[in-house]
Amino acid sequence: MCISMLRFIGYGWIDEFFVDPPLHFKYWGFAWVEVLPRAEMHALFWILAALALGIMLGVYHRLAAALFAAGFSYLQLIDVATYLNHYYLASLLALLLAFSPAHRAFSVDAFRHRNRRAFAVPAFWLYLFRFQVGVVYTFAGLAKAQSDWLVHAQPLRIWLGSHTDLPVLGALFTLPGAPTVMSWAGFGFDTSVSFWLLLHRTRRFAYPALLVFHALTGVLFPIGMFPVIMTLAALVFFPPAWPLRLWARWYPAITQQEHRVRQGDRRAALPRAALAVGALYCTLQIAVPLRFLTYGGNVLWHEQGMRFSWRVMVREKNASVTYLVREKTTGRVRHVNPRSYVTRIQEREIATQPDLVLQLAHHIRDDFQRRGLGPVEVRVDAFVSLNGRRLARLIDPQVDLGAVRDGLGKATWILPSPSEPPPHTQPI
Amino acid sequence: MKRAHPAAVAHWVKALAFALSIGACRKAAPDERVYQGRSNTPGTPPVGSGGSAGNPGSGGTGADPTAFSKAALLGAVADCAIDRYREFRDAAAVLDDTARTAAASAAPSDVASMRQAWLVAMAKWEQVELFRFGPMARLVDPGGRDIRDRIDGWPLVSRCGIEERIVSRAYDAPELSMALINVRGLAAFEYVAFYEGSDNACSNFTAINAHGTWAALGAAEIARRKLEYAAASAKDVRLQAEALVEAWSPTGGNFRAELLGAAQRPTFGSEQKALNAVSDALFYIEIEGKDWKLGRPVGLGDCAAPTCPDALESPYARQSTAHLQNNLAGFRLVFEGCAAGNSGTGFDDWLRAAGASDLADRMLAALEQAENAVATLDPPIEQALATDPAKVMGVYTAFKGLTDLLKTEFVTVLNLELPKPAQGDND
Repeated sequence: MCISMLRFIGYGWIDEFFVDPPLHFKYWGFAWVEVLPRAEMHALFWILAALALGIMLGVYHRLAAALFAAGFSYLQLIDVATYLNHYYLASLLALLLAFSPAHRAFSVDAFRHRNRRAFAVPAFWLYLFRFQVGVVYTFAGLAKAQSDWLVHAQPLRIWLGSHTDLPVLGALFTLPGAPTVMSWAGFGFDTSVSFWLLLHRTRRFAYPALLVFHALTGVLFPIGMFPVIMTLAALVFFPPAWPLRLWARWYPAITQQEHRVRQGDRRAALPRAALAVGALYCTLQIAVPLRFLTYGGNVLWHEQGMRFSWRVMVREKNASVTYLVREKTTGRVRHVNPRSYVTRIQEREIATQPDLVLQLAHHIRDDFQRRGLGPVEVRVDAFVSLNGRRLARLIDPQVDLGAVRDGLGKATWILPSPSEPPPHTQPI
Repeated sequence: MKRAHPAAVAHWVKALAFALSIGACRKAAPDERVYQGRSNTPGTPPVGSGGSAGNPGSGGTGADPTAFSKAALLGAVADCAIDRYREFRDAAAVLDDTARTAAASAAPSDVASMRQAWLVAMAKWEQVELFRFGPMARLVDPGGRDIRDRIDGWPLVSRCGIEERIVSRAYDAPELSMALINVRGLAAFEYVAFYEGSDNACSNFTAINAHGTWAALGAAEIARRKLEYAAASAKDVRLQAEALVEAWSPTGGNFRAELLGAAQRPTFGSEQKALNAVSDALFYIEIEGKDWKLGRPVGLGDCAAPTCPDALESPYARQSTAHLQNNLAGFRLVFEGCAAGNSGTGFDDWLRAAGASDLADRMLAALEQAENAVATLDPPIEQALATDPAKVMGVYTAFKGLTDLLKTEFVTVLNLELPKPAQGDND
């Protein structure tokens, strides 16, 4: 995460994603979260980078983790359009680290407080981190359990077409069955890798396969730090003594401490209240990704229940959105391009997400009111192509979005997804 | 836990290293040159345009979808762009010559020749607008050198700014070549060459009005200085046009090599990114075309009155309709192909090779619909806005039909990105 923060600083993304946009899109219930001024935003990123470094080194670990979790979560809450699954994961891991005794060994904190150092922590923490990482893989796999991915090999057909110039692999991508094979391989990997990592006999094969998988996805897709985060996070599936074993190659005296770890420390038990909280956390981590079932329809289309559900790289979607603003008093209709209010990057993100199209409609309504052109009705021409399908209307063009309230309930103003399957395009 | 066997570990490390190494490499671009385009000699008729990949110089044949390659498309687009740039450069040279003559003589016949030269240059330019990649593009774009804006800054044209410079004579070289884009280029030329009035667009508080320096010039002097301004603008445009051609020339910037060798060169890094830059240029038809040239004038944008004729692209020469026709012609060159009859390799061939022939056909149909809508815009848009705005709205709707396909299915099927200033992370 330290590297991630430095990437933001180095690439100029702080200004591009947070400072420069004239408008930010809010999470439901978090409209009060505002972006800081430019200097403070830059300072925040430097602070977060330092905190991430502190977590890694185990310097005031719990404080560093708690502050990082708070600061990084604040960044995510500023603008929905910047949501990424791996940023969500980073927030969760930071939160868990803030409560965990991860600093008890191999940390600066442990070095400073040698008398309190312990090589045993409640197994609960290990299982919790394994659960969290396993949830990501499993739900990412389950998200691929749909006909577009498994039957029609979309959107992989589309994505592989961008990389046919890779040596060796590029030619393989053009083979007729390659997208289908890779779709099933991805599905199989995501849904099962946690299981194989858990088993001692299969872990030695599963982790190298994981390395290859993430190396390939990192090369093929612009997913930033996600492969690195998952590659490192998956290490929790190894027996907790592996760092000691590695260390023991250079410091054999450590083996005595390793023996103590194997014996376990019965004094490191967890209070029942903590177990209850942990159980609640786990329940939420399963329930939240499954909430899409309450909405029905195609979640990749209507996006209700899409965020926080680990649907990683499962759809290719592009939209053309034009707002039709009708002045109630004169009847005059104006066509408003979203880029009149948002950056091009924001437009690409919001155009395919109905709740954000709705937020912008409200902003347009209010802006027209402020300029003395109100009251207005705001309708939208929103056409979307999902996984290469023919473009289809996403939102009912008859509905005045200016009068629609945002909420968690099923949005009746979102039209049903197209019923035809995606085309079988071919990587060339 | 048992230790992993060293041989097994070594095996997987090698596999990982292999995977990473091939991920860092791209295959070499072929040496084929698909479309030779015209020679560098002015007046030389076009060489037969390369139809199919690997067959340079064969004229008039349609591209065989089964022979499509991305390298072929890049080559075809590059050569088509070079050809268009050269044509514009030649027209800019004629514009420069005629403007200089008109400024020296002020004879009506010379002024008429100058205006005619501008019409010819603009006809070329409006097609060139669809080739806004590489040196033509903005500085923030791969290989961009802002040349487009220095040739034509529309819609950022300041009539008052031009008039202030007419008074101060801040159009003599090198002033104009260092001026902001809103007072130079083809749009500024149009104003000084076609607008015969002696009024100005500045407010009463602007110096030229507050101090009476504009009025003191008198109509004759204003007209004479406008011709001088036109000559200076034309010279500036000619220099920029020559710089553009030079940027692509093998002995100059050699950008053609950058484009064709995209996978190996740092400018793009991959064929896909290079094709993305080329496809970004097609979106001119959306923002500049649909929204600015049509939407604003017909009153769909921020316009207090029901229509906004002032927002038209060519308010003085009244060529807005012709400009739209040439924009669509440029779009067709890139999308369908640059050879005779729009055969040759284009993005439609890519769509067909990828199994999206239906989309290619629908986009061509939408393009034809837009072309027909513009062609049937009679009277021209300048008058139609007042007499038949519904017809202009029909053109806007036809453009939207094309741009909706462009922004949705086209970029999705080919995994292209919408134009944007930078690439962030995704998942």
